[in-house]
Amino acid sequence: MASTFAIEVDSLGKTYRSTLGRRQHEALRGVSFNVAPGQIFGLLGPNGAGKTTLLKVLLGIIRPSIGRARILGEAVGSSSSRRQVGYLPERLRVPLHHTADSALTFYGRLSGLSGRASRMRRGELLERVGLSAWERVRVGKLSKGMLQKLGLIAALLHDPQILILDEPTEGLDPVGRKQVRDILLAAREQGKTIFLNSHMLLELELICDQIAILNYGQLRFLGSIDSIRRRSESARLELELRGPETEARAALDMYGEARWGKLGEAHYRVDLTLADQLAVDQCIDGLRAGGISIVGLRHHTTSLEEAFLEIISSEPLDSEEKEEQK
Amino acid sequence: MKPYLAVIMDLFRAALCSRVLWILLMMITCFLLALAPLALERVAYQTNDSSTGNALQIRYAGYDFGMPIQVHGQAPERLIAFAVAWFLDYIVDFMVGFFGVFIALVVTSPIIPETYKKGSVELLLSKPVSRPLLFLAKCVGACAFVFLNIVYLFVGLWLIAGLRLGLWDVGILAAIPIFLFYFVIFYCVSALAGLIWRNAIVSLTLALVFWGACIAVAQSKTVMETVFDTEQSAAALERANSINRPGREFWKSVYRFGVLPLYTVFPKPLELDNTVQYLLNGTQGVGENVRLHGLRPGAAGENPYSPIISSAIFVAVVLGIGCLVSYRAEY
Repeated sequence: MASTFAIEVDSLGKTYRSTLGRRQHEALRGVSFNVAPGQIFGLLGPNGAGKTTLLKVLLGIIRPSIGRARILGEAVGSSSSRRQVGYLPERLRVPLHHTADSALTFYGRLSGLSGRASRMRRGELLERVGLSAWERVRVGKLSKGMLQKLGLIAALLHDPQILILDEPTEGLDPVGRKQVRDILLAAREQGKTIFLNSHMLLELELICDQIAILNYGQLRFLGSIDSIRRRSESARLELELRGPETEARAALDMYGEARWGKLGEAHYRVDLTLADQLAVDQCIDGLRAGGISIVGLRHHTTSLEEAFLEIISSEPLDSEEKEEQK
Repeated sequence: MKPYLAVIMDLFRAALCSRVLWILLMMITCFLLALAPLALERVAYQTNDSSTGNALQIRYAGYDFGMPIQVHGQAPERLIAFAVAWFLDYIVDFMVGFFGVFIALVVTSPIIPETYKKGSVELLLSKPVSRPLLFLAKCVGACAFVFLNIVYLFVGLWLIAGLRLGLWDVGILAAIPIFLFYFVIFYCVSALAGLIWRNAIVSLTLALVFWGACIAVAQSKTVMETVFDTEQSAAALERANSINRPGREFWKSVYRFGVLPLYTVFPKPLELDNTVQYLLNGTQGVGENVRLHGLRPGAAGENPYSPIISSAIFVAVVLGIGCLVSYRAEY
């Protein structure tokens, strides 16, 4: 039966055990999510959250302890599922005897491409990332960014349905990042599913349709960029006020702690956080009722970074996690 | 098979680019060029009673090397053949069998650890390739690389023996697969160690230690059997006189429960030399001259191919374990 999801992860758990089995570490705990075809899916989490383990499970490099994962309906690790996947590792190490050209031929052959098919496709891809002039150059002479682009081409070469990319924009300059983003967006247009693991929150914010946040091996958040922002309903306001200070303070006191800055005579800037839109309305009404002029008002939206930090810090930790933190 | 062929071809590409292949081919060429001027020629000499006799003159680059060796009552052709066989035995057995295999192990030991190093292996394993076949392809690639060098060396030796010494012996060429097999025995240990520890130095060290262990076990067996045989009659006499020599039973236990089981399980590289000599000289054992010194185990009349069979079983088991380890490993 054909699967409706490109990637299915169901109650996935992975426990690493030491050689003698005395020590164990739960890298993934009951992680479940689905990725629809044609989506760009971002995986976020602090170091040690289990992101790389999850990626390796999806690639079939390690086996889950419990649960299951499927790629286009095929069990992960099966030859047919790996044929559908293009992978870019975080620290790509291309053997130094290769040129960009020969490395692509080699990885193409490993993916089952003939030399001819690989030649036809790599020219176009090298052109797109601006590496055409470097195809005969040994990989040892390529910069980190160029190597990263080469890895991306190697992942795209056999035209896979799913791309799993670990920090694809790491080490790239802004132009290179833009090129990679454009390639990923074009791949999405072609119906490819892209699974991104990145610390570059801004990059994820720009291109991802869906985000998952992992911490201590558990899924802490799953949803769109908008929903992650909406999740944090509190509103941060920056107000510029004119009027008597006592009235202004009286009007704002009930909304908790505010940061006050004096800009001039009876002229203030106030930063405060309000619970929701209703509180914002009431706050404005209170100020106006006290005869305070609102010279300026700026509503700060929650950035992905703020939401991310909030999620990974606000979730309650169980005793084991606290132990690990120590 | 396309991905696995690509893996094998990639090894050659790596060897070419790292100049390892060129350096090895150059070393072999230098070795062959050093041997090429050697010649053994039949000369006539004047005896004291003014009659002429046969003699053999060793020449190197046109210069006589020492005095002619006088041949009394022997066909010089037979002596030439014997000398050539002895020479080839030394060259093939010592130079190739020891130094050649050692260099081959040094050169090939990083292949598996490099493949399975963190950062390289993830990309390989994400491709639709079978893990055991990837491991075997790497091993085959290493062996193909060594095979190329062995072929060059042995064809060179064969040509030198034919052109300079007049001995066109196909046995030299027939020894190529045997020497490759000699290498395979220790390379499979190196590959398994490389797969488990992912370290070229550990991989090479373990292969060399294992090589030493094989030789030690085979030599111990030979020595113990010789000692036990010569003591047998003396022991019977001592038993009759109720004399019990301390330690005899201990060494017999060591032989029975230690040396013999290890000898059965381990590959038999020294006996493999005998197989090579069987192919080179048509006699089992390393030429009669070496046999006389009792340096090699194995008696004439044994199946010359039995070391190959038992060693092949060992190689198959080690590679099987390697396939299993690579299949189950998590990177």
